[in-house]
Amino acid sequence: MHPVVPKRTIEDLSILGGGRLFDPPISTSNLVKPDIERFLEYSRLFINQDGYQSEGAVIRLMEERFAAFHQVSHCVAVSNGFWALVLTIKSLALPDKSEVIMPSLTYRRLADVVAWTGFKPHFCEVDERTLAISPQAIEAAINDNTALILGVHPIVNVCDAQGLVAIAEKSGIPLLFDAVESVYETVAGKKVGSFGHAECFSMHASKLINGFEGGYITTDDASLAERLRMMRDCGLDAEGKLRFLGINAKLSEVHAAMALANLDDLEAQVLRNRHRYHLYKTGLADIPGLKLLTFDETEQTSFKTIVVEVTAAWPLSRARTIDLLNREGVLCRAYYAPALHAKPMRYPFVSAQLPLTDQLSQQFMLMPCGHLVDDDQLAHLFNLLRFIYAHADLIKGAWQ
Amino acid sequence: MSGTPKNSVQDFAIFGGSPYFDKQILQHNQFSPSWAAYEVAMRDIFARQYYTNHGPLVRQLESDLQQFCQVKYAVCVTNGMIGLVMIAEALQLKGKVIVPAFTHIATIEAMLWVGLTPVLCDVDPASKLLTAALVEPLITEEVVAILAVNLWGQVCDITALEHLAKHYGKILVMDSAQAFGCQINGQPIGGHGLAEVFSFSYPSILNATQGGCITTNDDALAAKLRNIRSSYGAGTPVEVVKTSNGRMSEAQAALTLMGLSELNQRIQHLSCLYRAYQSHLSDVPGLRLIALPDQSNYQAIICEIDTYQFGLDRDRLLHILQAEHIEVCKSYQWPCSDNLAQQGIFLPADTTVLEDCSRIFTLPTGKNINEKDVRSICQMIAQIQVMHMSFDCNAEH
Repeated sequence: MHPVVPKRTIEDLSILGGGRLFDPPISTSNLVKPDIERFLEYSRLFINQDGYQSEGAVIRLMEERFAAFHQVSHCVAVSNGFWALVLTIKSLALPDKSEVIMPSLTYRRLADVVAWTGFKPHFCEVDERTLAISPQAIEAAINDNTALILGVHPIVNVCDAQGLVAIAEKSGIPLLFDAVESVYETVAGKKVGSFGHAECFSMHASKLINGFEGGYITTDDASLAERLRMMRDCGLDAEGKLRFLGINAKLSEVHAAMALANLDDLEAQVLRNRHRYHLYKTGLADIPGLKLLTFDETEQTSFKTIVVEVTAAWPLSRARTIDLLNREGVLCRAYYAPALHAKPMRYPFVSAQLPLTDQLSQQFMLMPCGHLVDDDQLAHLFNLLRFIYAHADLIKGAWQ
Repeated sequence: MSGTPKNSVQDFAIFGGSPYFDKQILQHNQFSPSWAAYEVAMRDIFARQYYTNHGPLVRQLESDLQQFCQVKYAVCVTNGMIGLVMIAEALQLKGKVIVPAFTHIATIEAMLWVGLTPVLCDVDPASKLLTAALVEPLITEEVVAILAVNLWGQVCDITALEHLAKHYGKILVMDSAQAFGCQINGQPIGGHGLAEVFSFSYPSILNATQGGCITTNDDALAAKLRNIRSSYGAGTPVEVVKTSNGRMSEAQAALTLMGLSELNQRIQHLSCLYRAYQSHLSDVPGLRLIALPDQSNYQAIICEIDTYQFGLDRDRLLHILQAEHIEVCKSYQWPCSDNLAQQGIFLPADTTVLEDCSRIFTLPTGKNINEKDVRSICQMIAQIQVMHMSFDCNAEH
């Protein structure tokens, strides 16, 4: 690891020939690491000195623990969040309809997920305050072809889950949540994971729960849970009869063991995240134009992901800022750009005019966070941002 | 694991005797890394803090597999079935695919996920494999591909199938989920047809808990597969219709690498067990082992029973053996025609697939079993055959 050398003149900037501030770079990926002894202990449930043991024990334990965590009856573990969504959409969507209402300002592969189900993404707006799908946005998109509502929780805080539940009930349309970014959150004190007909989660290493890879679905609907268990095993029931079109979406046992170890560490992780978030709060407080999205501390929240709004007071464009920072080894990212409805798609979809989404997709950045980002690095990052602000005119002059 | 020999019918566990084996002989291939090796590998991953997204172990594994299979490209994936779906998605084919009627339902379902119509083809009665002679009459304009399955550690007549595919201008893909390590003419399979898929999921000879790999020599296909799998490890960006998240994690890669390093020893061991079964069952009337070729991976020992000649039906025999803690299993079951019929998929006329499914079972093989166990199991089966009248259902207490 190279020592971090602060910038003194603009020529020190990487864009103007200087070295990178961070090498290796600091990223936005959580990469949380649990206690390895805890991980090895869970591993012993599926492998020991005699080799692989009791197939499924650690997965069942993981499902029990996560069901309890989300305060639901059932948790179905699967290979990843992508296929969790595909299988659940296929199970819930009204089969004689064709469209899935979903936000456009979201995860770049979410429209692909819907495409695999045979339904058409019908993109809708988000709420300006929550950056998430809202009952109003859904209302505007519901029509006779609506098969399912895919409510996606945003990266910071939550969407209006209760409002979504109300509109789903009123319209008789199934409601599935993509809760990948809100694992730890509550809505009016009730745990994310327990709303709608089901909720899907990811255990990719970049997420709150690092399972290497993996995903799971929570629901209180026993027959849905039973169906999903069959669908993740090629649609076969216990007698080997084909009941549904399925796929191999089984979770690897080593991933379940990792997820459990991280679940045990979760409260401690949230405290570490909160500490990091508070550093950003104070660090950015005196930097004009970078407005930190704040977590709603009246609810439970993970404090995991740091998002800033780049406002007019910031002297560089978001694109240039990201480029400059990336080249300093600060791997910040545009938060959901391009928006999904603006991307070319070679599968059927319902197009939409989403001016608010277009505008919002230009405004936000994800900032470095997670297990591998320490206090010193953040202090250097804030100094770099102050440096850029102070020397913005010179930078713009010298950087073509 | 030796037990008390059975001297009379009453000694058998279904009639109240003690089971021959104290604990379950695990049926499926239970090859796994040692705990020590597992711990070392996991500590290494934790130290590096690289968990997924095309990390160094996945890259190492792809390189090793390319070398092992003597192919240009190995694309590691979540599991074999996702791999098969990804191939179909990458090829963006429309129309029909000829698939053997005798295979795991995953082979057929993979086609349905991308909107292809499987046309089920009958199989050779002895090997249960697809043959060029059986495929040819089914080839029409609408058929775009042939998906052959290398079942149970056997290998299809690849030369004939490749020739047939070329002659008619159809794509050939091989589902080699059960055939990793098999060889043809001294060469490992992996480079045949347009692409092959391998499974590293239980109960494969390479068991990473879950895992898989696609092999191909085709530049364009490999590029598409890498871009469909994920943006990590995508290599040259190429346009795809949709992505599928088919990533393999570093943990899965570590487990697969450990298995790969022991592959030859495993095949050796399984080969000995196969020969032991061959020799000790040869005189038992009504039983036929599926013949495995010399360069098989010997991953599965499959037996077909003739109820009339043996004296008992398959399910009865399994019941008796399972009571002795010998984990024998039904092999494939034709998974109920209703759902497939609704999608226009039917078994070929005159096929014996349904009866075959009721006659076939798997015998235990793997790390936990030795030749002495095989001899005991075979002796017991021989005894059961001789005493079959006493095992009639009515006789059980």
